Amino acid sequence: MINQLSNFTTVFLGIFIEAAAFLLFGTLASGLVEVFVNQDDIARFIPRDPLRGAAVGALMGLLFPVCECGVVPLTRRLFKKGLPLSVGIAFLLAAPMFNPIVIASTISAFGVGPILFWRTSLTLAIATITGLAFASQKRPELLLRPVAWATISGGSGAATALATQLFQRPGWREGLPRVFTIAMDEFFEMGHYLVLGALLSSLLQTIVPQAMLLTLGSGPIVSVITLIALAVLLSICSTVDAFIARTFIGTFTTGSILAFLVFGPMVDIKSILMFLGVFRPRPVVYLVLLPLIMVILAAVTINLYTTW
Amino acid sequence: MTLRVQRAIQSAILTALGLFFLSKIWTGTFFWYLSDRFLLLTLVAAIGFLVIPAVVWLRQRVDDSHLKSTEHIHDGDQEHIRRQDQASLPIHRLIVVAIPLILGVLIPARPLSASAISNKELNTTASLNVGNVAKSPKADTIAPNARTVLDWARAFNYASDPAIYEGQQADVVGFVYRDPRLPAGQFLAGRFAITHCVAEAVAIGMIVQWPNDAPAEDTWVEVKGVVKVAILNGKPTPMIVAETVQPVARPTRPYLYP
Repeated sequence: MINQLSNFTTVFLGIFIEAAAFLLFGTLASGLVEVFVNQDDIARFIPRDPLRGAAVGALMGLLFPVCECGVVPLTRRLFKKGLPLSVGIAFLLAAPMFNPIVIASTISAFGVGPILFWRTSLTLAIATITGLAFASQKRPELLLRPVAWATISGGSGAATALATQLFQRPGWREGLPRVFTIAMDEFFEMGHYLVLGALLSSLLQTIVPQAMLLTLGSGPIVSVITLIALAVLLSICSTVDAFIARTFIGTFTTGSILAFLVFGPMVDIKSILMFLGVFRPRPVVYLVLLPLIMVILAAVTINLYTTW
Repeated sequence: MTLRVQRAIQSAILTALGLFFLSKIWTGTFFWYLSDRFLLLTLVAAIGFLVIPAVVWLRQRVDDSHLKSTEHIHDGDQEHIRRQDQASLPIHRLIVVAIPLILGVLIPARPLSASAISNKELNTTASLNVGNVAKSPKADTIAPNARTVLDWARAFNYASDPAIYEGQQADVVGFVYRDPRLPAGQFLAGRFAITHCVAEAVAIGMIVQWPNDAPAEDTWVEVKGVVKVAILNGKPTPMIVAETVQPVARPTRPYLYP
């Protein structure tokens, strides 16, 4: 019992120490956006067309290389600055994978080949489609928690123009303490979801025998479900999950390895809890289910109809 | 709770987190949780945890001095000030973020032990490899008695005929694990291999044939002997016919890195 408690604590602290660093950077990015970015700035770069907007959202990770811990507070802050729902959701799902760091680690683990191509393509496609699915919702306040939506989103043009007019970009000396104050509050707001998620993940890792899961590697469907479950359970940072996935070659199907690489950065135990800090519960269910269904379909199709 | 009290608690927790991270790095126990890929990142985060509350506190002092210099505060202003001084976060969110500190202090720190193998996959022929596929494992370029448990596992995994390694001298360090699949007179010299975080640790083991009483499970030992090919679960597995099994101190870096 003491050994199990010790192992549990070791795993928990491993997950937390790594994730806390990324969360801190995400909250600092969020603070910078709040203090130095105007709604006008965002509106200037985001297409009005929902499809193009969602696609741009999925590509934004190239500018904001944050992992799944850091992307949540940043997305929440961008929503408050008037980022359309579809764009933010596409960014939320794609950025943890589609950023220079993760692309580089994928190349390092698998080379420039089918895995890299399918990982990036499926991530962009699924994130864009999921974002698009939310584009029809014209009232973001029905999906977002009050702390996460712009108080003037959906308001009159006059109110929007006034708020934009009132915004004054501060100098660094005045702005930086405000950035830090916002980052500190965000760290505690999102951090408590991170801690709860890390506790749950560590507990499951201590209780659930992974060896049992890893015997289910060969079936075209079961292997996909198994590695998705493992990705959610392990809650590994996307910056290094490619190296973990490499160890499954030969034991698991190609489709299941892709499912691990695509779904893991989008959804795991930590991120599900952090989503609840941004969205109301029902949208979180859709945020998990929509990518899950698409990933399973894509991965099983790859298993059944391709040979690499 | 007032905002002032909230800020004080937040600052205390963040500062404690920064010091906690720094202590892990300073004492070397950082490597019980993460690989050195994350050392710099964690160091930067630790400094951030110290700097942020300090800057917020300094800013608070400047705001307070501006407030004190205001000579006439009307009733309406006082009410506005009172409302602004109300906490923005519930207390339980602050306490939850302190849980890692509480666990880190209350539970004695230690790396993963043999008892974790029941939940982790145990590899005796690990295909752990980082980077593009290598036609021959790095292990072949390492002298046999300098190879780790991981090097041996990889060598056997990639060799077309592992019998080429029979008769080579091995000198490995690992913890004792009594695998239920092994007969009496055998145990595993185990290590955990991690790529970046202990959460994805994989247990690696090398069979040791030792007719004498093996040390207690979880004891770190150095095993010297001659390598033979054993079959475990239908796969060729490296085995050491041990000449000596000596208890040793746990390595400062207990994990292996593929």
